[in-house]
Amino acid sequence: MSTYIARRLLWVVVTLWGVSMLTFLVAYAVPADPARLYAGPRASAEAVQSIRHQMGLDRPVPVQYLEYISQLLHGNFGYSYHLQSDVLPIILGHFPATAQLAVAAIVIELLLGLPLGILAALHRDRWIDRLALMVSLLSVSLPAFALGMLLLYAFGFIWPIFPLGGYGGLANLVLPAVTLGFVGAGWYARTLRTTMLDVLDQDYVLTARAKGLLPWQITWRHVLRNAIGPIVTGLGLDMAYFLGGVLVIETVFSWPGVGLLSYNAIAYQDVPMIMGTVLFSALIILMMNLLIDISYGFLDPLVRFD
Amino acid sequence: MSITRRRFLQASTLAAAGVTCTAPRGLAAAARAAQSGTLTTPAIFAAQAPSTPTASYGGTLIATTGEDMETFDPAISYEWTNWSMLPNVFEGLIGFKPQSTDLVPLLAADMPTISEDGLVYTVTLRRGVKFQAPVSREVTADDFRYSWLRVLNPETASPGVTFLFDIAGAQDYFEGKAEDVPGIQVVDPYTLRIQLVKPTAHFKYILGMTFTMVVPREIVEQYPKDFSHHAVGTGPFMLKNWVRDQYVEFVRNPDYWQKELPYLDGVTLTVVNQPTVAVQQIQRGEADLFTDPSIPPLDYLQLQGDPTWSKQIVSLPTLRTAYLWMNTSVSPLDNKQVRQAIAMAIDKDRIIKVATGGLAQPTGVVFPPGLPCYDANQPTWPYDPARAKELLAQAGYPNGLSTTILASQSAVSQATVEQVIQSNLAEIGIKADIKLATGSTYTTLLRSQANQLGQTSWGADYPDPSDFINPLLTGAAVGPSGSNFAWYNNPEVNDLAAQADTTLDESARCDLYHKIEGIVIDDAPWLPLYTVVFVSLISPRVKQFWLNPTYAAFDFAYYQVSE
Repeated sequence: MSTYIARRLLWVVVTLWGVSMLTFLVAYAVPADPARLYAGPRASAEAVQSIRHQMGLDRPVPVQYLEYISQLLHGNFGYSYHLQSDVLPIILGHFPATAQLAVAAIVIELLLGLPLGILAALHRDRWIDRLALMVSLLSVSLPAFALGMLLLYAFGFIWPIFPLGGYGGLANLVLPAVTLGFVGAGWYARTLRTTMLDVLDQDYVLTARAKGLLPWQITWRHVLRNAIGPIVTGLGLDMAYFLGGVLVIETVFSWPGVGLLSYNAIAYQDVPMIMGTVLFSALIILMMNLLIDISYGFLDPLVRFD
Repeated sequence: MSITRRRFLQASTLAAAGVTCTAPRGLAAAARAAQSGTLTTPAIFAAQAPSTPTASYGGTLIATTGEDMETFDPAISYEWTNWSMLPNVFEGLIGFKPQSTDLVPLLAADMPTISEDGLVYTVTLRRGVKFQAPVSREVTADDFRYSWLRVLNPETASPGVTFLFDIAGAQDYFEGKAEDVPGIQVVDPYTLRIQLVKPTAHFKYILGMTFTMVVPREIVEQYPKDFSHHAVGTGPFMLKNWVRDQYVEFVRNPDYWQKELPYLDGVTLTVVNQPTVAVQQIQRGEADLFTDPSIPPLDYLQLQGDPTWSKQIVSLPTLRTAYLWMNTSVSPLDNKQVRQAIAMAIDKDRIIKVATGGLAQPTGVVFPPGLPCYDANQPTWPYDPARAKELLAQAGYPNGLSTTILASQSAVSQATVEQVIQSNLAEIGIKADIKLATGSTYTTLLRSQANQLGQTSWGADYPDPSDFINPLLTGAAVGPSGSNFAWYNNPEVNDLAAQADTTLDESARCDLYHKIEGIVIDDAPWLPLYTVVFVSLISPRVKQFWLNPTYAAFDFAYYQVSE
């Protein structure tokens, strides 16, 4: 197991290196001039050139890349001229909000999606199954933006139970988490229903029933454990996705997360910030994937690591 | 001053019809009002003067913004949000009289005395003006010299260096050819002497720009890479706390030199990304003022229909002209008659509806109403597609021609104005393809000589005609050097503009600008489209409020809330 983890970590480093190179190239391939964007329309060509020189953008791209990587290895993610601040503290400052929202959204997704999926599977083709499928369909079709604005309007404006966006306490977290949670729950419901139906048809379930186990015991002890696999994968992917920042929800709810940070970085061609946010997200995705893969070892005894 | 393209497009497509004000009604009247320095404000303020006998002190005003400040440093901040907040904390030698575009001395004791030849400005500083805590010492002439040298230092990478190049030796210092700027002299601790390269009529406005605001060297030296978060100035408010992308807290400066100001205990700027949500917050009492350029049209229409909230809408025509530019250096637009034909083919009313929902004033001249030397009597191109088609035939294109329109695509604009232009041109036989570019790519492509047509706007950095002509319509500003997207290079205009720069007599100067405008309108490198109107919303809690006429920005020091 430990050699497996070591090998995977090595791959994480290699992947990050590839990501950094690709992102760097793409950032420079775009025909946009960060110096001109920063300088504004009134600056003369000489002033823009001077600013370009200060930003280090007039050196050859490979030189800039090597300097970036060497800084990175010392823990320095660079300096954003656009924000007049070091990159890493800004990203880390925005991360708690993103993390909170990610965890809350996952919780809601599971609270909504799993029971729905279980009920649908256990009462196949009956009204509860139909209802569950309809709700799932709604969930995957409804754009997060629209749902978010609706919820905000309804529960922030018309019946002001919750604040109108912003970041602060539990009250601020509810609506954005519910929006993200609802929009993601459908997938979980449908997937769990499908995997459970597969398991319910298995011989050992029949045996369990023959043994005289109660339905809830069968579900809990035998069916769920075997059906949960894809859910865990989905969970990992979702977590990784949320931790990269969900721009749409952040703008609707004025949630100060990492998504808005990366969006603004791209709009202003703030190369150090673009690199910072991409590498940060990539690192999280890679680590999440690693955790998920390791967790399989504990969930499914047939999985081996070698 | 740059409102980002994104912000302007948000603004111009998010305003809507109607102006709610007591008197005067109508946009033309509003424009005249702006010209005379008065404002269109809600009925509740109509009778109030800036300092009422029953001034109410206290309370915190909560203002919403769609984007957080990026930087908070007079040497660097140029985008709308940063820039409109700078006067809370920082001050310069000269400012604007409240509710007017007239200059008044601020940290200067009097307006500068100008030598006979127009080259030397001598400024006496007001005494007893102190930097805020923790610096807490008196401001001297040396502080101004330090602040300006900082702007000119290439390591600062200031977007505003060009504004200071009127000062003798400034450009050499910036380019590394000199160790110092001889044009900025400290005569004694309270006297500053500035020497110019040549007599410059607009220089007094430079002394009022944010780039010349004074900063304390102690803070700069302590936080060389992070001045923004520890900003200290001389202004009515102090920067207390800034949580990025959440809020910025300004609190009253107890040592402010204007003893009766500010009225407010503090101003909190909260980041609300969705403009509709910001409007809802104001309606719910969670916020007091909407600071982004213009509230969304749907919200506007809804508020208009509400008896309480329609009175809370504030609007003001700005010193910003939206225009269509045509690249005069490439075929077929190098043909003057072709440009004139295009000028007559565009339906401005339709564009105004599409771009602003109707809340803008059509214009045929370069200068916006309210700018000195604005001339409402210039002959302008009428909307006459029949005549346009004739002229096009005369120009040698009886069967029409092909061209392209460069457009910026953002979430809000969808190139709708360009589509109107495209259909207008089709009516006279011109086939125009729309070339879309996004955000930062668009800004770079704007300066390419391969462009044909495009649409944009320009707002005054300071209220002077030179700020329109020099950066947009002179030969020196073509290409990567400036914002002359029409690549317009008319030697006569260049000469007249240079002459006007050094003419200190106001009426002679305006004569020159009238002449320039006349030539430009006739040559038609541009078709001016409309004057932008700024629309905002305030909560009933706000008792004293106006929009600053020079920039449609905010004078928080004078605002009052009821508590």
